Amino acid sequence: MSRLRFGVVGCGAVSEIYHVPAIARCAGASLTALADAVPERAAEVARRHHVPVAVSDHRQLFGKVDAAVIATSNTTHADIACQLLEDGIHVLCEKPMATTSADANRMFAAAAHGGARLMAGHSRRFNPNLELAKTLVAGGRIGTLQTIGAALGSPYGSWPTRTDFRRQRTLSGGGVLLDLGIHLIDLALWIGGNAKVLRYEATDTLGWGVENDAEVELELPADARAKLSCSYTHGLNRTVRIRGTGGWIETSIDGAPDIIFWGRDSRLCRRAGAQKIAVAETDPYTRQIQHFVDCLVSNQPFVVTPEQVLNGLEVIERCYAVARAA
Amino acid sequence: MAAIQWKTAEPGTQRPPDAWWQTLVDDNGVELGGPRIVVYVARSLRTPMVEETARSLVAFLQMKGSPVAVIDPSGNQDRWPDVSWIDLAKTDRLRIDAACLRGGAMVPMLWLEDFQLISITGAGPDQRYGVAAILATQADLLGASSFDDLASIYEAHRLLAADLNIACGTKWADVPTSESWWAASSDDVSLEYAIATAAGVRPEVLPQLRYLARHEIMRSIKTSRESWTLEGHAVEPLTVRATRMRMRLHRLAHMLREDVGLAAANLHRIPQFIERRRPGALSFLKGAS
Repeated sequence: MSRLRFGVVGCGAVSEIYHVPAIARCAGASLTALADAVPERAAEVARRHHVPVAVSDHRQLFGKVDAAVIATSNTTHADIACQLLEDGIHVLCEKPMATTSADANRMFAAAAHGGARLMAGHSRRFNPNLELAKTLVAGGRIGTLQTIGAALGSPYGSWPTRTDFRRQRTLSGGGVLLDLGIHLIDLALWIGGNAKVLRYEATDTLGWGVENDAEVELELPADARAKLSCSYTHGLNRTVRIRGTGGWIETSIDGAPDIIFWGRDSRLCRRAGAQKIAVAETDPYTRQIQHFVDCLVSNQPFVVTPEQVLNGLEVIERCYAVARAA
Repeated sequence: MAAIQWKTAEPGTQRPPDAWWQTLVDDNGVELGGPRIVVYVARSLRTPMVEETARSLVAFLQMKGSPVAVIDPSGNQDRWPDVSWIDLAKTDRLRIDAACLRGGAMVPMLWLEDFQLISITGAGPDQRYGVAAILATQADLLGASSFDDLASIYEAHRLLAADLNIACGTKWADVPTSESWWAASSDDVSLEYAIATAAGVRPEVLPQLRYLARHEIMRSIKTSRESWTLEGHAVEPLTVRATRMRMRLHRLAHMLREDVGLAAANLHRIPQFIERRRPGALSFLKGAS
């Protein structure tokens, strides 16, 4: 079987550190082109990673690739994706897939029209520890879900960036909620089901015109709750705690090699109490690309569904509406 | 206090009477109307009597209307046609963090579920342990390396112990036509202890019980038949010591081989390490002088 030809649009930090090596490691994919609005940057990354083609406009990828990863500034995702999808190029789009649910709907419509497929890049779902946590919850191992508590934050600047788009609303489309909070919201939706906003609080401590600290409380099905915190100003513990009527799970959001689990009805914990379960340490970006390729080849649905993507963006829109009203 | 219940029968008897099953179930908190009951049949300490005892128990549980499944690593579905059979070789395993076992304990995913477990094993002389019974049988479930046998026994006791443990055999270990016996307890250590005592061995000297005693306080044991004795079930302590010494040497050699391999694989890092440390060391020496 021939390999899917991949292109990467946007050669920033996340592309060079994660997406480009992940595609290189993925069976069934070959990285054939890079695109970046700064042609020197595209050429430099292409040279470092032995990619044959470097272009300055994503439209130059037409005919050269079968699939593309979009990792540009948030507000540019929708237009770039629509053009690629309309041309029949499958797209894996970095989170947030769009900055509004209307844009996301436009992207899914373009995919349907172009006969291509679109997946949102919620990479944390591919962390084996979070995958196991989801399996344990779905299997009823902690009883009925009651709460999900998660936090993700570090002072801005501790993450390598090439551009400073996160501080410019026109490029970012929002603040820390849209950038980091989307990971937490997606986990809550994935593990708990569709969500509604109960409470949202945010501050623009740094004066960027977008929120730098945010807290959101969601209502999940069966009266469960999710309390999520994210920050650009200070370090948060980067863990997720999931509690049910018959047990709990605690693990890292960043992909730790283990999770701590206690289930009242689980034989494993009956005598020995909570147990630390080790999982394989694998790169989530490689697994994400592999999943994307496998689903394209086998025509299976992606693990990130359009409904979840839209629900996540609606949650963020609702939060921003609450903030505007306040 | 963990109680031991003994049952004896005429030579050649392979199954205990059904009335005994009822007593065991009642006395040891096995809920016939509760979660599924899984019967685990020993692999290494397996005898025809172990299998017959398991069949008798399964028939009793089925008669009572309890949902039953069997784990029989030596058998296959054909040997258990009328009962749900669990193939552990094909089930996924979880790697559980284990203080004593390098690389963790590989526990079958099944242990995430809610079920009651009854383990059935034989008992007999074993050069590694003196007397082997339920603890070695439990450790088989982990499928760990023989280099870590005592650690496996401890971790299996911690993570996989049954609600009811049953051992069976004949009075003379190597005479199948001698009197039959069964011993049962809700506590695996108590059962091992009682069998060792009956076999004429001081339990405190058994390597597996000594290892367990390093990690937890041993409970006191009450046996229903103090005078019961088992013949030919124990290996001489000196032989056990020699075997354990040999195993320890094997283990040390194995670890040494592993460490040498790892060290050899990292030799190329030494020049870089020296290069990295040299400026710091030089400035330290300058400061000291």
